[in-house]
Parts: sequence; C-alpha cells; structure tokens
Amino acid sequence: MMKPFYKKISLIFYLALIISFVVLLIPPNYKMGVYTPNLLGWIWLLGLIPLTIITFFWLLILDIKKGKTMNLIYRTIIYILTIFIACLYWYYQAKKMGNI
Amino acid sequence: MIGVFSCQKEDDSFIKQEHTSQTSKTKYSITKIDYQTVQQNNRLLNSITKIKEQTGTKGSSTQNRLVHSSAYGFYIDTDVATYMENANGSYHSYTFPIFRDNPTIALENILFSLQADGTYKVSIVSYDITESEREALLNRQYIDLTNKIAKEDIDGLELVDDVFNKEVQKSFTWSYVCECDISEHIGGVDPNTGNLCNCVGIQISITNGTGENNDGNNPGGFPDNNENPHEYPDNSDVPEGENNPGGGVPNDTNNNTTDATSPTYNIPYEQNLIECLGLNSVENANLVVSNWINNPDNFFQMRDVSSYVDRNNCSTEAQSFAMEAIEAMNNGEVESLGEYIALVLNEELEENPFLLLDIDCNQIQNWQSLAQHTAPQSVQDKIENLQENQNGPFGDWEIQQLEDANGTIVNLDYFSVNITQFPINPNTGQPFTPNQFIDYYRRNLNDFVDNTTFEPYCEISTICQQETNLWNSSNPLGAIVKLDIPLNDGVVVCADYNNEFWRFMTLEAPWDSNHPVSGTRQFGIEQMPNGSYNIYVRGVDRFTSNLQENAAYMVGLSNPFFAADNLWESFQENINQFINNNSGTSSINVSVHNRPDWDEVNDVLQGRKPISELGCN
Repeated sequence: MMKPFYKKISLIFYLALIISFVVLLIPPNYKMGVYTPNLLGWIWLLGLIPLTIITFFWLLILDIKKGKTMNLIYRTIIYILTIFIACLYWYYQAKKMGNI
Repeated sequence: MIGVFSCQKEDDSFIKQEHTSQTSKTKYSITKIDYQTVQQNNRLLNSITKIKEQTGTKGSSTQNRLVHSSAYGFYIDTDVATYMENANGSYHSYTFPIFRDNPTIALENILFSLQADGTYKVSIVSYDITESEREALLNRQYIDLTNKIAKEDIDGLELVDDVFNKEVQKSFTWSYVCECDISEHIGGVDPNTGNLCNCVGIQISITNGTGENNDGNNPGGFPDNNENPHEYPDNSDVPEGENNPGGGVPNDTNNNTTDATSPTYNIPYEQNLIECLGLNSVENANLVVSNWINNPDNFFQMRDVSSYVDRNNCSTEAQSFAMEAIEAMNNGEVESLGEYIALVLNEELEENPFLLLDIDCNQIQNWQSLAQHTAPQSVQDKIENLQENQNGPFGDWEIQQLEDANGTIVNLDYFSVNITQFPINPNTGQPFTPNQFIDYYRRNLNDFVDNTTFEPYCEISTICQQETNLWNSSNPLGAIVKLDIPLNDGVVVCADYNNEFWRFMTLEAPWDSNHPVSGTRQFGIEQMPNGSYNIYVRGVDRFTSNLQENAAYMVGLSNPFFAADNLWESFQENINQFINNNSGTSSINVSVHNRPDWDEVNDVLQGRKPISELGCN
C-alpha cells in the first residue's frame, strides 16, 4: 500500500512531466519575449523541467529505500523515453526552421 | 577533404608492373580523405563499429579516431584513409592504415570494399616489405611488390575465432598501376634526367579466385621495356560501370570479386610531429618539447597535436601554434589541444568579436562602425552623473559595451524597407522628405513595432520629465529610453543623432538592471544607388548573460535571436503598411542576419582548421 505522501510526489512528477512535454509542443513564439523567454518560457525552463528532475530523483531514492524495483524501472523508462522523444522533437523542429 | 592524388589523366599514367595476363586499364580516382569525410559515411562507420563492438575496445583516443580491437590485436587509424572510386561512381573502397601492438609486418591496411548489397567487405591487406621499401612506397616511388602482398578477408559480423581460422589468401590476380608525376614522361622515364618518375598515385586491383599466382611474370618488377607503358591493357577484372549495371561490384563470369586499394600509411605521430617542428635538426633541438612528445603518458595529447599539424600541412603557423600548445600542456596550463584552442579562441574573440562570423569582408564594414561606436563624452558624462546622483536598486548606471557581454553569438542584422515614393504626412497632408520621415518614425516608434514599447525612462521620477522632453526634442542625443519587454525590460541611451540616423546603446539602469543584450542599434534612412531610400534598423549585439542566451537558445529552437528577429520584422511590416496606406510606395527587403558558421567553428575547435580560418572572407 502506497503512502499518500509517495502518491502525491508521484502525481506531481507525472503531471509536471506531461505539462512539460505539452509546453514543448507549443510553438516557440508563445514562449519567447523579445530576447529571453516570456513567463510561460521561464516557468517551463525554471519550474516544470526542474520539478520533474527533482521529483524523479526523490521518488528514485524512496523506491530504492523501499525496494520497489518495478516502480523504479517503469518510471525510469517513461522518463528517459519522454526525454528522448522531446530531444528528437526539438531537434526536428530546429532543423525544420533552418536553425541547425 | 584533402585531395592528394588522382589517377584520372590517362596520358600521364603507365603501368609499372603487371602480373597477370588479365591486366588493368580501369583507373580509379584516388583521394586521401580525412576523418571528417570518413564520418559522413554511416555504413562505413557501422562496419568499423562492428569490428570494434565484436572484439571490445581499449585505449580509444580522446576523439575516438583510433579504433582499437583487442581480439584482432590492431588499431584502425581512422584519421586518414584512401578513398578510391571507379569512373562512374558505382564502386568505391576505403583503405585505412592499421597498427599492431607488436608489428611483424612493415605495412598493413584494412580495406573496406563496397559490395553489391551496399555493405562493405572487410579485408586486411599486408605488404611484407622492408622499412626502406615502405618509405619508398609512401613517397610514391616504385617498388617491386612481387610476392609481398597478402590479403585476408575478415567478416565484421562473424565470431572472432573464425577470423583467426581463416587462411591468408595469397592466390589472386592483382595489378599495380602507377600514375607518373611528370606530364612529359616517355615510358615513365623523365626525358631530362633519365630517372623513373614517381607514382603520384598507386592503385592495386585484387581479384579473388582466378587461381593465378602473382609471382614470376615480372621478377624485376620494373616496367618491361618491351611493354608499351602508356597502354592500359584490357581490364575485365576490375569494377567498371558498363559491366556493372547493378552498381557496387562488377559482373564477373567466374564469380570473382575485385577490390581496389592503395597502400596507406600514417607516419608515427611522434615522428611526424618531430619532423614537422624540425626538432630533429641540431639548430631547432628542444629537449623539453622532445621529451614531452616522446613521453607515453602524453600519447593522446601528442597524437592530437600531430594530427593538427598534419591537417594544416605543417604550415609555419601550425608549427608555432603546436609549439605553444605543447608548452602550455607541458606547463599544466591546459590539459589538451582542444582546451588550448578554446583558450586562444577566447582571447582572440575578446579582440575581435566578429571572429566567429562567416561574412563577406566588404559587408562587415557596415557593422564595424556600429561595433566600434562609443558614446560621445557628453553622454558618458551624463551617465556618470546619474550614477553619482540618481542611484536606485536593481542596477547601476552603465553603458553596456559589446565586448563586455558574455553571450557566445555576436548578432549582426539589418532590416529595411525600400521606399520609392514617400508617403503623405498625416499631420501636414504633404509628402514626407527623407529627414522628416525618419524624424516622424522616431517620434512614433511604438506605432511601428509589435510586442514592445519604447518610452522615456521614468523609473526615477526626478528625471522623468527631463528624459521625456529630451526624447521628444529635435535633438534627442543622450535621451534615456526604456523598452518595455515583458519580464526583461531594457534601457537604452541615444548615443548618436543626426538627420539621417540615430543610435541606441544598451544601458544598465536602476530598477531595470541589465539590458538583455549589449551593443548598438542604428535606426536610419539611406539613399540607394538607384535613387530610392531604405529606412532601416541595423544592429550589432550580443547577449549580456550567457544564461539568458542558453535559455533563449533552448526555447528559440537553437536560434536565440528568433524573437528579436520577429520584433524587427514587425517594424518592416508596419512601416511598409504605413507607407502604402499613405499614398507612398515601398517594399520589404530581405532581412540580413549574420550569425556564426558553427560547422567552421567546430572545425577550429577540433583542430581541423587553424584559428586564422575564422573571420570574414
């Protein structure tokens, strides 16, 4: 039986991950001010992305302590897969725009 | 790509040695290629990787160009290769030098020969020759290779044990074609000196399975005087387009396959470096540097330096750069050549912020005056005075200089609209003159840009009225203007003004801290050679903070100036619309952005090009 605290962190992780990915899909002109990111851009960069990293490692430590290997493996796979797809998408869009 | 030699000119070629009744006339283009070119061939890289993966690796160099195979017991030097291609491009091969930990054979190559299915057949070609013969061969001089070539096919996909169980093949047909380096030769002999000419390129075609041996036909090895050395004998045994409609390898009635190779060798890195730096001569002897080169602990660093001088043809510039790099590494200032290049590049960038830009030297003049612009003394005095008397939180009063910025990219841009007929001034009902139009534009700047507003600086109330009056006057020199950029406001000062243009320099100011970029932007109007006018915005700037640049890089999909470009493009659209809506005629010019050519910068950082290659050209 999972403790509510663990559940909450897990929920925050998955929510942050999903929102981060959705924000990635938003065209860059909605995330940029003139020279630097706008509010959405900064929330994405300094809020959502770090939140996924922090909660991931937090849950990782909790899983290791409690021996929840399967939870750990599933979450790690989902996280790595999301990062991989995000990188591919970013690279594809950058290439499409002729930036790289 | 470094083109070293080619065998394409038929009349310059002759056959020095022929060992078979079936002989060769097909010529291949032979090109010495570098690591970068090798990297472009994914299938080849896969083949190399398979050998590496299959057998495990150790001691790969810092840049992974030296592929070590512990099971095969050799290193593949991917730093340099010989690329051979037949006339119609349907066949090609790559030959790399290989080195063993305990070499018993003077010269060994690994040959990747293209097959019909697009994969590569992998073979080890050994030249059992003496040291002096090897030197001669590598100097493109003729040597007798009778009974000295052996070929061993290996399969990158099979098990390691199989490799060692395979027999070394010595029975095959091969031909040895040399292209003479003297255009006026007679039978390969220089008529002036009577000496045999050197081989500019050597091509060896190896055909499996004929059962013929390569020995005995021409024991002397040198061209038989009875043969006509200018003729390329019949060649049914080498890849040739017309015999090979499927591409890849030739049709062969005996089910034979033919591979083309050329002896390939890199002289040892230590020797290459010592010879290039002239350390083997008494007058240039430098014990410290020589010891560093010969110290096995420095192998990978030394190898990088050796490759660097090699790629730059051991030029005087490369020599002195290599010496300085070695001294820096020896003194512990840097760890590697790459680090030293980055260090020097940083120093040079401080002196020349345009260094990374790939731009026409004539064009760069247009931005040079902007980059070198300094605020007049009156403006500097005003800023100093504000610093002393009008302090506030979140920033000092200071002009942000381009060279003090931390951003990596220097941005040069030019956004303009071409005016062939000036619009009617809405206030007077008369057409604008050029000077009136630029003045109108300045006073109504916010009507011409989207997502940003330009307002006189009013964060400190005591100077608000003064700045508002100054900006709205007929001479706004020294006026401080705030750009309302969401989440990152910026302040600029009018640092130059005349009837044709004004210049804003970015400013750090209380309450608004730094402007996101540092540099100068000119707003003006200029007459073109055809009599029309361009109203323009020309800027040279650089991100003030590296963190902001990286954030913008990530959000802007690798173009941190993406949104700024949109801002100035909105200027183009709005001003074009204004002109055409007010009985004028204009069109938007293509915007100009000069940003670094990162491929070239990467080449410099990797030591493939000297730093002097950067900058305008």
